[in-house]
Parts: sequence; structure tokens; C-alpha cells
Amino acid sequence: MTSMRDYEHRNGRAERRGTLGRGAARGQLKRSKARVDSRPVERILPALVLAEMRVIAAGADKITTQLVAELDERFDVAKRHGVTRRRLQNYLTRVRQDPSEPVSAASGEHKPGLDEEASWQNKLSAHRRRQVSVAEILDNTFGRFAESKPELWEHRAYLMLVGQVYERLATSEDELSTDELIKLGKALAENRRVEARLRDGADDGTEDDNRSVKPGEMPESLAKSVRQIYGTDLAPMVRSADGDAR
Amino acid sequence: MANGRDAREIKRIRNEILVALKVLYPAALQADRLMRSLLVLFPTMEFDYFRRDLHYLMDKGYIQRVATDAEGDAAMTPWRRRWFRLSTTGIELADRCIRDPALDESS
Repeated sequence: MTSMRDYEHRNGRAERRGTLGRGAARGQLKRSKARVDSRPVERILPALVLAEMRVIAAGADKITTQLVAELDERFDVAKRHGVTRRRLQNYLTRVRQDPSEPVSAASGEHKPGLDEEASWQNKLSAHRRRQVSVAEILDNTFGRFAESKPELWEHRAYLMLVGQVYERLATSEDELSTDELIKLGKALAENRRVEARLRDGADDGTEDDNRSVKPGEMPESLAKSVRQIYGTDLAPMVRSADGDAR
Repeated sequence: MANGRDAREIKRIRNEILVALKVLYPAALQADRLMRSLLVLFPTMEFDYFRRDLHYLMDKGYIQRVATDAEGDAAMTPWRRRWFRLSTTGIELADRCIRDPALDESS
């Protein structure tokens, strides 16, 4: 349960009453302003939170600021979702007066506008472009993926590494741009072609760096490839992965 | 009930799950890593809903869980650490060989 003092503190009223330092209260106000989300409340809050709040609101005689403060405290609405208490109070009052108010945006009449659709398509095509080059890099680095069968679970460390590399490459746009990633993919593909040519020519006894890999084994060129991608040495990682797997 | 999310977004998330697993097919990916990779597209996605989507796709037979011998009781493995891969039907859908109106964004 929230005390009145906590409630005032969060609303910046403490400053007026002189129970809190000015700087601290201003800082709190500034932060809460920065996080405000302008979408309708029912589009911001998770459905389970909304559903619970609606039940509480329906059972209350009136939607008081005290009740809203308690709900905010309980569901962390302002801090986590950027919904101010005033907006929450308005929403709950509306819901209490008209229980047919949509539970969530999905049941409402929301139709995505052209801007929203275009923005999604842009985001998706940028992601897709990146995903394609990540797929190429994974394919060139790890070769064809083994099927994930439990009886071949010594592959676990190997698959874990593949998953980690996928997640890392697919999401870290700040560290490695999509253009760089595409170049890297092409460079790796070119390396693969050169290695394949060398291998074809080395059948007569020359050292082969990429001999066929048995199930559960790491390709020998893996460390080299990861060094190319990340600029770091994979040796300790491979050792620990081996240790875990066997 | 659509769990507080736009129906279109739900379809998009489910489709993107299939696309990401298709990249790694026939290997599997842990739920946690899969979700993190999707946060680029859906920054407000929450794991509880993501888990429901995985459940839905499993019930539909598009993805399957891969349990290991190391998991003493597979049911006790936290969802974030569970492994998933596309099923044969899932890869058909991801390759657009078959269609599912429930996942078709235009419908």
C-alpha cells in the first residue's frame, strides 16, 4: 500500500509542501514527462494489466486519485509504460461508466494508417536485408545446420553458438551496419569459394583446412571466421563449449 | 481476446518467429534468443505473450520443441531455455508452399 507521502512525492507535490528538495522533485517530474506515451491507454498497457484494472475499477465506488495511485504503484504503469496517473484515471473512469469500452486495442476499431504501414514495411525490409546477410554468414561459417535431434545433443554447444551468433548479428545494428554485414557476407562467401578451390586442388595430399566435420565437431575454420566477424579469438570459447558438450 | 495486442501485430510476430526459425532450419533456437532477435522489430514485446505465440505455433504444428536428455524433466525447463525448431509443416508455411489464413496479414 502506498503512503500519502510517497504518492505526493511522485506527483511533485512534495516540493510545494516543502517536504522534498526542489532538485529531486523537479528531476522526477522531468523524467516522468520524458517517458509519456501518447498512444491510447488501451494500446499501451498489457491486456492482463488492463483486465485486472477493469475488475478493480468496476468494484470501486469512484475512481479516486488514491485508487489510481495504488494501481500505479502495483502495476508500475507510469514508470514502465509511460502512462500518467491522470490519463489512467480518465481511462478507468471511462471504463467504469461504460463497461463496453474495448478491453484492448485489438478489439477496438484501430486501423493502421498509411504512415504506420509504410514505417513497418521500411523497418521490416531493413531487418529482412540484414537477416538475409546473417543467414549467408551463418551458412558460410557453420555450413549446413545439423538437425536438432536429442540423440545428437553433443551438438548443443555448437547450436548454442549458432544461436548466439544469429541473435548478435541480427540485432546489433549499432556495432555492425547492414552494409558492412553484407560486405562481410560476400567476403566470407568468397573465402569459402577460394577454400573450396584449394581443397579440390589439394586432394593429392595438400593440407586440407576444411575436412568433413563429424556430427558434434566444430568446423576448424570456425575460429578463423569468428575472428573475421568479431576481431576476437574464439579459442577459449571453443574449449569451454567442448568441455560442456562432452 | 487478443491479449492486448493488435491482431495485425500478433500475426506479424508469429510470422517473424517462423522466418527467424527458417533461417536456422533444421537447427533449433532457444526461446530467449529468438525473442531477443525479434525485439528489433517489436520493441514492446513481452515474454509472456511471446510464450503464448510459441504455444500457439506448436499447437498448430508449425514449430516443435526439442528436448534434451540433459533436461531431467522437460516440463520443468523454463520457457526461456527451451529449444524450438520449425516442423515440416512450419517450413512449408515459411516457404509459402502452403497458406494459413490465420497468419495471413492481409486477411
